[in-house]
Amino acid sequence: MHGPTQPQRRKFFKIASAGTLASTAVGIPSLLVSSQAQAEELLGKEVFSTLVKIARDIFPHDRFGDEPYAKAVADYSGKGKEDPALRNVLIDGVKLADAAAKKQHRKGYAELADEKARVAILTTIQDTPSSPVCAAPWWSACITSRPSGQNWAIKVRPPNTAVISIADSTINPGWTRKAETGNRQI
Amino acid sequence: MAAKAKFGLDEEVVVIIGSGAGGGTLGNELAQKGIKVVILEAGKRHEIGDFENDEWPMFEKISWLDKRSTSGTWEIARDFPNLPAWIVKAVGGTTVHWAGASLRFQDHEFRIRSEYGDIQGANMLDWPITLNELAPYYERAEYKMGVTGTHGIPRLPGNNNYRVLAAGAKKMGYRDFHTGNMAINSQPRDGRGACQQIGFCFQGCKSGAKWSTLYAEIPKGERTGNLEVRPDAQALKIEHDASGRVTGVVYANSKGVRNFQKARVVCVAGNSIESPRLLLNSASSMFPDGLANSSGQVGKNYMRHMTGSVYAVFDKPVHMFRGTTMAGIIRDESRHDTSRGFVGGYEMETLSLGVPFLAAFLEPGAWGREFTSVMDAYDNMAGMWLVGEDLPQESNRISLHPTEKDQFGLPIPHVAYSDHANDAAMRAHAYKQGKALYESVGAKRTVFTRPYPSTHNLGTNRMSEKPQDGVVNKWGRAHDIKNLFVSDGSQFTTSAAENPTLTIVALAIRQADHIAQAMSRKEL
Repeated sequence: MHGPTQPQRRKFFKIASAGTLASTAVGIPSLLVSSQAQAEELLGKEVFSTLVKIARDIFPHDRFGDEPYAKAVADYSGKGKEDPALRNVLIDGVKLADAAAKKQHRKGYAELADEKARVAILTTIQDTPSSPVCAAPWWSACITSRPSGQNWAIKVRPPNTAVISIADSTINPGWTRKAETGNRQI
Repeated sequence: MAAKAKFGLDEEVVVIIGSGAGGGTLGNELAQKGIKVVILEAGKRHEIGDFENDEWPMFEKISWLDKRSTSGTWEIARDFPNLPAWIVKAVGGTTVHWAGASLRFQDHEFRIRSEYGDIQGANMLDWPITLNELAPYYERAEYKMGVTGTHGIPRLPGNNNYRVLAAGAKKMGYRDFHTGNMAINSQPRDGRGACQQIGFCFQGCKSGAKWSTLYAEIPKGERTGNLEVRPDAQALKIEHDASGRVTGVVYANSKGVRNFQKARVVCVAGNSIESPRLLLNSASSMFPDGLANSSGQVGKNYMRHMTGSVYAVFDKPVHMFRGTTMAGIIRDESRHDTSRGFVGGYEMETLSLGVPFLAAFLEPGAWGREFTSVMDAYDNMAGMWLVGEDLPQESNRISLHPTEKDQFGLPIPHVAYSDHANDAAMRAHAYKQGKALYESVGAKRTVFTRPYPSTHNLGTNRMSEKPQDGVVNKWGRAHDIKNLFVSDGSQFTTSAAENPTLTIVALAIRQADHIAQAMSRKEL
């Protein structure tokens, strides 16, 4: 099928990736590779990959691969480099999810194959006080549990956009308003 | 063309605090009459070239993000506890991000105490002016702003979101629906072009077709040589002399450098949270409860409109985000008709948010497939905003936080709000009608979205006939202080159902005439 939008989309991807193609290893833009690598170094590979899974479980979009979730987690946890409190919140959150999963299923969170089982785990811990997953959306909990006096713009930004807007603009650029009207901006 | 004015701190000018719909309009109107004006604007001056068609970056660039606290039963206290209001801190004020809907209030809405009677829990009061008195100023405001559907100005074309709304309106038997009375050029006018249907009305209009004091009023005033706009100048305190007349304003820039600007007249137009806060923060031994507060009403009767949104998912694409965001309205439910179970009425207006905003505001705190499946249907979504009259209540109020201070060492504002039972009944009715409308044209799913942080903030320095009932008189002049005026939506006695900007502009034009006449008579 040759829908009218298909050639445009291919063109967009070509343009979008032109600057990074030369430096990619396996087709993933180098920027992502490096921010992901940094996040993995900061949090540990297992914590990072569990966070990606949690991000998808909280905001599941079946038409997206894992890349936008990985990018969201990498970008967000990158802030933990200068902010040890955030780093600890992220690591402790994964610990909490793992502990709850082990208690119920004798497996770590990421090892649970069934999405419903994982969501059930998140549901059980979302109200746990002093935990980063104590309230949905999980990103919001991470941010608002930080000490006061931080950047208000970040504090008031309800962070479910972190995953969704990054996901949208990364994977499906034709979907966002920005991309839709980008060529008509004055 | 005169050079841009630059007035000395010792010159006794008219000082206006705020450059939005009230302050920006008043400043230009006074400057046109030859009166020297300094506008103190807390925010920066961003021009059209600085606007970005991207929701969060613009939000961070222009929004008023200084800390505020909240309490009460409204969802905002839980979902956005430090962001009660979604307004702008920049030259042009909230006219930078407003939608452009420009509706006159209805006759009965100026006298709700007489029309609706006393209602338990509400601090009901009639305005000291009538629709008839304001009508000539509405005329002038509509002409100035180029409001579609008035003065022979054609209405805007309807976008897809409007087409869905209009089709549903027909099915529902509504009669009064169209693409609105919008202060957005449908054809070139007043040196600005016609709407290019870009969308992103809330991020600052990239084409300048939407009226904003930033580029439609302030530059005209500046060209007279009588108006100076000082950005990055946050008013901290209004000073007065031993006779009780105000003498000037202490303000500070973001580096904390303080100055005192002398004033012959002070006009407060900082929106309904900052305006009463400034009066309360200006307390002195002579006015221990704050300026203009002998009634005790400063900060009280805070209104935010009854609001809510209905989003609907259809089986085919709507692309609600394309075109003018709010050019679509159904007015049938704005009547006062108690058979629906509440007093007052509400408007139904097209609204869309982009993906980033919708993800944040559709259902704050939501996660999981129930939520993301709606987001995944974004292309097929239509949306409407419900906006109706909320009742003034004394306990809904702006007060000074007992302990928390801002960057200048002044108490931050605390915003307390709880819905009146009438608001809740109206919202339930509005949701029901919105859902029925969309289902009548095939909606597969509808979502009720809670009120966003308030864009319409009203009533905290209200107008009253008698000094004991309110803060200002029918001209917006403080009952207690002869040369102190309130020039924004905080002077509204009641909220009415309509978007407030046109009324703020009409009142500013009227107030400019009043101030100019009083000055020429040496009364000010």
